[in-house]
Formats: sequence, structure tokens, C-alpha cells
Amino acid sequence: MTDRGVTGDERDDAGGVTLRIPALARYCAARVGSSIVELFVLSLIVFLAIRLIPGDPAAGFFSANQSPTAEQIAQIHAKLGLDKPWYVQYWVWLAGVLHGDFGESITTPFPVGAQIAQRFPYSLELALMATLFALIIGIPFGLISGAKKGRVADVIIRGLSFVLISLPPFLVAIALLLWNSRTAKYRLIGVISFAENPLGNLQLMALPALILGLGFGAYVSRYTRSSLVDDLERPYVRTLRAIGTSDRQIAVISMRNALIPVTTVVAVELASLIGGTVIIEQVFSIPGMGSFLIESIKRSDYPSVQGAIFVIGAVYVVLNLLVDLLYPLIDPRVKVVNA
Amino acid sequence: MSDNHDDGVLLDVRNLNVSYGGNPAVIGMNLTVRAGQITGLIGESGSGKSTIGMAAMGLLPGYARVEADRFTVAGRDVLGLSDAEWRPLRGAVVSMVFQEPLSALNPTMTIGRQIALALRNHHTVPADAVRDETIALLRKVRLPDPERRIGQYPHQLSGGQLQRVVIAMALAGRPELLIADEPTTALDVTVQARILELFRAIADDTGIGILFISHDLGVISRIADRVTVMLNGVAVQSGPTNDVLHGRQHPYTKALLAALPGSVPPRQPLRVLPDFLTRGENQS
Repeated sequence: MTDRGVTGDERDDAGGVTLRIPALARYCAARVGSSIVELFVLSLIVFLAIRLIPGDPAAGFFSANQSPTAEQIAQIHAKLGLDKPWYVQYWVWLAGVLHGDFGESITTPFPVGAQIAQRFPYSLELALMATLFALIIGIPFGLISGAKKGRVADVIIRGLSFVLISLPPFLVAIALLLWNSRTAKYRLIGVISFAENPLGNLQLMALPALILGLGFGAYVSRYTRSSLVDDLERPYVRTLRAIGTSDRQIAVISMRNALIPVTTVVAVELASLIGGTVIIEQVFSIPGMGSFLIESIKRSDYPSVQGAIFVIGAVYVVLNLLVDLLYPLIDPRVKVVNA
Repeated sequence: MSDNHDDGVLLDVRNLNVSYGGNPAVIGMNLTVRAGQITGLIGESGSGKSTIGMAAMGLLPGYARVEADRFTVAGRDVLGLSDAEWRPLRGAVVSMVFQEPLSALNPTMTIGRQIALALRNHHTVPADAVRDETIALLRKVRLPDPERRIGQYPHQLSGGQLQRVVIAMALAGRPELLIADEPTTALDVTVQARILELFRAIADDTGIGILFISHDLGVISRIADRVTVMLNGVAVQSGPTNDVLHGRQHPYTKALLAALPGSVPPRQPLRVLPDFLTRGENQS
């Protein structure tokens, strides 16, 4: 993405105002374009992967002791559109998705799109809150740890982050619920609609988000630390010392550089939280995307599985795109480099 | 203590010994740099020449052991100074230019802000004059179009232009002594010649004394008034450049000169140095 390549005299005018804006626009257009291609490839892979799974969705329409005739099965197939060639099925599905229609669930009376629309906000809220906690915890501790490399503060922070990374979030969650169950003082389980009670919604979401954010924050802290330690070893720091810059000011300057790569790590981790928090969702009874996916898989509800995986995958694509579009703002080197 | 300073002696090193964890890097070194003079320090990699430069900046790593009978920078005894005591000297009394100009600058900061940082560190000029002084410094190092350059980032400049920026940063605190550690090694030959002219002009115009460290005899012979030849941490020969290069030579100096490509007829194998370094394999 970045090219710190050797500069030459011919590069001299590349940084002028005249060239910068088109280069930046080209970069953005290229990133948006490739994201669209990624989404198409994603949709195709999701669709085909589901078709490769053995088993017949029609089985779900009969109870275990029924023995349906071939005619009955064919009828179901025709109803679901499974009698058509796969590319026709794909096209029908894709055309629907482009209009926000993910098809009908075969095990529930609700359309897949409506279920996703209901569950996605909870997952997004949980992931964003967890990320917020992770940044509040991880960035300052990571920076302190890196700036004080090898000192007491660093050793303590590293030890603590090691513990937090190793600790499974569900263990913490269950322990807290168990402890709370003795007095039943607080409501910790379930969700409250944000539209009805914004404060209650945030309060209830805070604990699972914090539990997820602790491990994530520990990870951010470690990454930030190593990024800062690396940056402080770069030759420009020696130049700063050679002109009499204080260690404190050097650390401040270096932190900016050190945080640039952290953006990418946080975005990828945030994306993974959208579909990857099944256990915490289960423990706290949050109807999110992760549990939707697992429930759909258990019921062999292939349109729902397909829709859920596609949306979870799309979150990765979109977040990566956002980070790439953000990069020119935080890293000046990206501005003039062609995508 | 400052008696030598009055004679224009900016770096005075007598019997300097530096070792890293028991391995000697510099042994019994004597070195003098005077105002307006360029002293060349030449040797192979591992000969200890950069160690001397870093010692004169107080930038040696903590595990380095430094001993000397005398070690003054611009008349100040700098032997055993702490990092905090060194800091006001760095940039304002003694400054340094490094080898690789692109990596010597912060990639995410405009060059104007980096030079301004050097100016602010020692309050060289009032805050409202920093921009003008930055442009003046870039003019001094002959960087074309400084008003536009100060808003640019290092990757937008060429190697030669970047080295001018690094030199401007080094000069910002108005130091008396400048350590230049292989400042032209990473540049191509035509750019190299112009940067050498710039160093010469700085010494002549401002009276700054320059310690010019290089492994390149060609470069040293063009720029240095005096030269010290180093081998395995020891100064084997020292004197006015002309005498060292053309007078009676230490066998090592002779071998160095013989190894220059120009001294060999075309299509003949280049001469290599006899293995002078075998004795000091552990040194770096």
C-alpha cells in the first residue's frame, strides 16, 4: 500500500499541488473499484460454498418418520428454485441482494433480510463498543509500554496484557454472571432496543463489550508497543537526538508514526467481532449476527446462512476500504503513490 | 579548560579509548578539529571512525566505555557528561549529519516542521521568526524553492535535496562543530560533488569546524584540510591531507591508495587490501 521507495530527481515535482489531487482521487476510485470486485467474488464464493455442503434442504420440510416421494421432493425443490441451474440461482440471489432482498428463510416465517436487519445493529453496537474500550485501554498502555521499554511500567503492562489475551472472554462473563446471580442486583442479560431506551441499551451492552474489549485492548496494547519500539529504533530518531530533542518530545513524535499501522489491525479486529462473538452473544442472550449464523446452520437454513456469511464478509471489505480511504489523511506518503 | 577554544580548537581529543563490553573500538586516539577547518577521518568499516563521531555527540550506547586524557568540544569538557547534560550541547554546540538522508528524516513530518523543531529546541530564534529562519536555512544550504519545500514530505525530495535538508537541520542550532558521518556515501557522484562543495562553503563562510568521516579516499582528498587514517581503532597516520596522500605513507595508507580503481590500468584486476582487519574481527 505504501511505497517508501528511493526518491529520484524526477520525483521532484510529483508532490506539487497540481498532481496531488488527481493522484488522490485516482487512489480512492481504485480502492472503491477493487472493493466492489471483492464483494462480487465474496458473493460467488459464499453461494458456491453453500451448494457444496452435502445434504438436501428439502429434508427440513419433512419430519424424521416421513418418507416423501420423489415428486414431493421435486415440488419443494421447484418451490425453492433449486431445480434451476446454479448460475441462474446465483443470479436470482445476487439480483435480490443488490435490492436488499436476501430471500426467504426456509425454517422461519421471516425473510432473511429482515432478520439480518434486526440482528446486525446489535452486533455492530457490541463490536463498536468493544473497539472503543479496546482503544481506550490499549492505545495509552501500549504507548507507555513502548516508550518505557524494559522498565517497570512496561513489564507490568506486558504481563497484564498477556493475562488478558490468554483469558477466555466467556470465562470472565460466566464468572461475572455467577457472582451477580447471588444477589441478582443488576440486569446483565438480554438487550433493550436503543430506540426505546438509549441509556438502558448502552448500559446493558457495556458489560459484554467491556469483556470483549479487554482482550482486544490487550492485543492493541501489545501491537502498539511493538510498533512504537520499532519506530523509536528508526534512524530519524537519532537525527532528532542529534539536534537536541528531548526524549519526551521524541516519544510524542514517534507515537504518531507508531499508530499508523495500528489502524489496520483495529479495523480487521473490529470486523472479526461482527460475526465472531457467538459465545458472548450466547452468554448474554444478545441476538446478534454470530448467533443468527450458528442457529441458521443448526437448522440447515441455507438462505439464512448464505445471507449471514455474506454480510459478515462484506463488513471486512467495507472496513478495509474505510481504512484505505483514511490512510492518505494519516500517512502523508500515501498521497502521491499510485494505488 | 577553554584555553584551546580561543585558538579555534573545536574538538580536542587526547588518548581516547572506547570499548564496547570489553572489546576495544578506539585505542589511544588523538584528534583535533579547528574552526573553519575540515578534518577528514578515513578508515574501513569497523575501524572505529563512526564511534569517534558518536562519542563527540554523546550518542554512544550506554554500554560503551569512554576514557580519555582530554575530550573537549568547543572548549567544554564533555567526558562523563550525562545524557541530560549532553542535550543542550547537541545541535547548539555540536551537530551531526548522517549517511542515509531519507531515513534520517521523519517520513510523516514536513521538512519545514522538522527544521523548525531544530530551531525550537534551542530557541535559536523567536517563535514568530521560525518560518523565515527555516527558509533562510534552506537558502543557505542551496535548496531551490524553499518556500514550497517546507510544506513537503521527505519522500517528495531527491537524495541530494534531502541531504541539504538534513544539513540545514544540523545547522539550525548554530553549532560550532559539525560531525559529518559518511554524508555523501548514499548519493550518486554528481550530487556528491555538490554536497562536498556545500560542506566546504559552510566551513569557509561560517567558521564551523567539520569532522568529515568517510571510507572514500577520493572524497576525503577533495574536501579535507587534514586527514587522520584509522585502522582497527588506531590512528595510523595523521597530518595535512596533501602530506598524508602524497608524502611518506604508512603501509596501510599506501595500500588504501593502491586500492583506488583509478590506480589500476583498464582490464586489470583491482587491487584488494591485505587483510589488515583480521586482528580485530570482533570490532564493529
